[in-house]
Amino acid sequence: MDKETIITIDNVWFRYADDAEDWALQDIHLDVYSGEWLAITGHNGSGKSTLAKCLNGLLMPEKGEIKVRDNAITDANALWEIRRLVGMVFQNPDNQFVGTTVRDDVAFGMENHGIERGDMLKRLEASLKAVDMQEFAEREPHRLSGGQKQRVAIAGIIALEPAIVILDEATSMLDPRGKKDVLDVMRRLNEEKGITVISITHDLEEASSADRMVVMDRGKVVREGQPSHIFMEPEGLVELGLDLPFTVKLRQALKEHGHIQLSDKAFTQKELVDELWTLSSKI
Amino acid sequence: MDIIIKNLTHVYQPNSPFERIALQDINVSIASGTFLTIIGHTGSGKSSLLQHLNGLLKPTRGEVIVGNTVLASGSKTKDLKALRQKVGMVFQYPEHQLFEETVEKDIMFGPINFGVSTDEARRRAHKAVELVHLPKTILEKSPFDLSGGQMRRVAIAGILAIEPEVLILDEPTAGLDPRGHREIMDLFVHLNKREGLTTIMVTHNMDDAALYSDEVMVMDRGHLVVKDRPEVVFQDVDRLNQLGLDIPQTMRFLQLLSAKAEKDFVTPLFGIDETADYIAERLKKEWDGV
Amino acid sequence: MNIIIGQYVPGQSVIHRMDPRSKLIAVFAFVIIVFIANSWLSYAVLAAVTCAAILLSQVQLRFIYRGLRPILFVIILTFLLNAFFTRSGHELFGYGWFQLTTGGLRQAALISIRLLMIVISTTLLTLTTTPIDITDGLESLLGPLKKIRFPVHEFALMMSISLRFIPTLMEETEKIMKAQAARGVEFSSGPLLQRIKAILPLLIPLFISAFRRAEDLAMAMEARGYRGDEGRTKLRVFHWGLRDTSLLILIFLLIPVLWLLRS
Repeated sequence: MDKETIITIDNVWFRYADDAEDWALQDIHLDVYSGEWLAITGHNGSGKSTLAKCLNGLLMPEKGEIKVRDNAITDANALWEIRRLVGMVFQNPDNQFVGTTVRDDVAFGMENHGIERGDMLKRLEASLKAVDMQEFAEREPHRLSGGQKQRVAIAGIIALEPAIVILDEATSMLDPRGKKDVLDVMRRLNEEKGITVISITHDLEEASSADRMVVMDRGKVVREGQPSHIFMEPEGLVELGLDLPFTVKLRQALKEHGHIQLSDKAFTQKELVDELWTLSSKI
Repeated sequence: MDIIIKNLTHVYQPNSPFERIALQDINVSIASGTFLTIIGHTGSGKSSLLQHLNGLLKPTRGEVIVGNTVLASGSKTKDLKALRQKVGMVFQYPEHQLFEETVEKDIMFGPINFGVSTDEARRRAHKAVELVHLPKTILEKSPFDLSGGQMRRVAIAGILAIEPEVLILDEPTAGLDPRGHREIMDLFVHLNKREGLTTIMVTHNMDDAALYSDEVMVMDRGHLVVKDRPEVVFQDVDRLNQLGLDIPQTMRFLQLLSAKAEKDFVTPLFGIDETADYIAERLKKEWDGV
Repeated sequence: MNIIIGQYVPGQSVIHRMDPRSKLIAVFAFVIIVFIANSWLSYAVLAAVTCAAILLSQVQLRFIYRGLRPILFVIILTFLLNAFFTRSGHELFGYGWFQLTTGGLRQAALISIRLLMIVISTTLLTLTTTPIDITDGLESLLGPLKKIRFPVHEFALMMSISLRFIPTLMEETEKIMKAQAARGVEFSSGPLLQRIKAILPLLIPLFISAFRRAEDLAMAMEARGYRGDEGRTKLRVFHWGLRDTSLLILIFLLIPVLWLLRS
């Protein structure tokens, strides 16, 4: 697959106050590729959400440069285009719902970007359909579940035809069903529309299904690569406040406890089952 | 302190167009010292049940008996207060209830409301901070200068300082990162095993339910489906599936393995090491047997 | 939880379907026009208009009564004050300085009816128009004020966000009250001073949470490209129809009619 860079992050430094000793972000270099699902993980306070908020210019780095499709976020004229290109779903489903009904909320972004009403209505319908919320168009926010509100937030974003959607711990306050619905919708958008997804999460199971993963600690990128590669060397991840995905833990236990000769290759549950089965049929 | 729930029914906004039955004829008894986990969907009645245990909701019919306190539809406010002292309730995102200038004052708030002297309340605050593994130096700080995980511990300490005999937890790990999650769960297991606190927890996390509890209770649309040891509750995979509930990830893996092997390997095991031992043993048997 | 904001009663009547702007103008005009009337005949005309509006709206009378209830006391008080402190015409009843005169009674009746009609007409507006439509209508009508830098759009946005967050904050209040009740706070019993003290553990967390929400919301709005009124399009549009024009013509025709009927 040809990797087309969609966001470049170059030597970015950020701190919350000009005289703060601690940098929330230090010397970040990272490229985001078009169409990929990138997971950014790390413990609370590692800087992952700060980084996300720099990508659409909600926070401005003190040093360094961030470009979204050749638009620098420091360019005031390009900022609105960047915010259209980079949609963001925040953590708390309630605090990002602006409209008094689902329709109004989905339209909010389009109204801001001055989309002509006839076009707006078409996009409104299409984006509600894309997140399976078309029956809820007239619903008021307090009659929706957390997962439904997050799907409305996604609809509001895709109505603007963005290239990138950032999930900023968007599923951390949801129950398992809400979480699954939100992630399913995002996967579909990622696969069918080629929308790049940047998921800020501390859910390791979710991160391990990403195309690529970045681990952050104290404002720095400490690991970067395919999840299967990162978890192949699990040493140090627990110290970073993370956990290991279930498959990795089980694989280690099978080797150490059960004395089964397994490779380090199996990463998904299915791969591990297959490997176990291949072993047994060989004997 | 034993808890007995008899024929408990709760109806929200009775005799109005919005009437809704939240709990229907629940009968259950919880022995002193038990770690009980309640699972079920959003809207299954879990939260309503919890709120009866410390008198935040009163039964429409039936009664809740905690030790020697009886809560029924006509109970007086005085009884409610007695009940709340015995049954400590940690709500979801408990850090949202902090309000005092210092951590110490915030933790002392509960005990003082229940009529404890200032000196005694201070002593309890110091003890509670230790129980939740926070340094004593935190007592003088403002609760709003702490990290999210620390704030949650302070809020929990505020409940522990009331010295309840029963601890109720409504999704206590919501929003925490994996490290915070592990630490908080360890804390509750410790309180249950060492301090003997009867613990009742609501969670969506099936692994926590399976790993930490003595008993698991399943609720569905206001009804009690089953209450038993986790091995028994999770054995019945079909029923859980019907209710749209998950099983622990160890068992999900065994399901996958069974499908591949076309043999039933599924058994209620929750620890990773135990599961690994079991798989090794079963596979070796297969290999020897063939 | 079931929260009903404002008094809106859903319906499909002509009045429900009217453009909120025409309803706003009509009610505003009506409230002023009421003051032209000073004869029984002119009052009869106004009462007829009010009754016609109630009939057309198909709103049940108990809803109108519910809207009136909070203000009923004021109307009765106004009646009594006028009845006893206006002295003209014959004396009907007297006891020392205390006098009830025919003129006083007439004055009291007219003023109370005037007040009643004002309240009924505004209640009818809120019963047949959603709060958000009223907000949008106001924004549109006050639009010209933007020229003198009056922040019309910002006010309307503020109103609509408040409407959106009222249920959320009510839920939150209930949650915090329960959490503090679990820590031994009694909100509904005990001496007054104690109850006032119990408000702090509720208010402080509520304020903190409201500020956090406001901060989050501001960030979310910015992320979604909000930058004020400029270049903004709108999803909600109004449909000004024949019925709206007719309503306004009717209301303004009342002016000469009432003028002629003045005594």
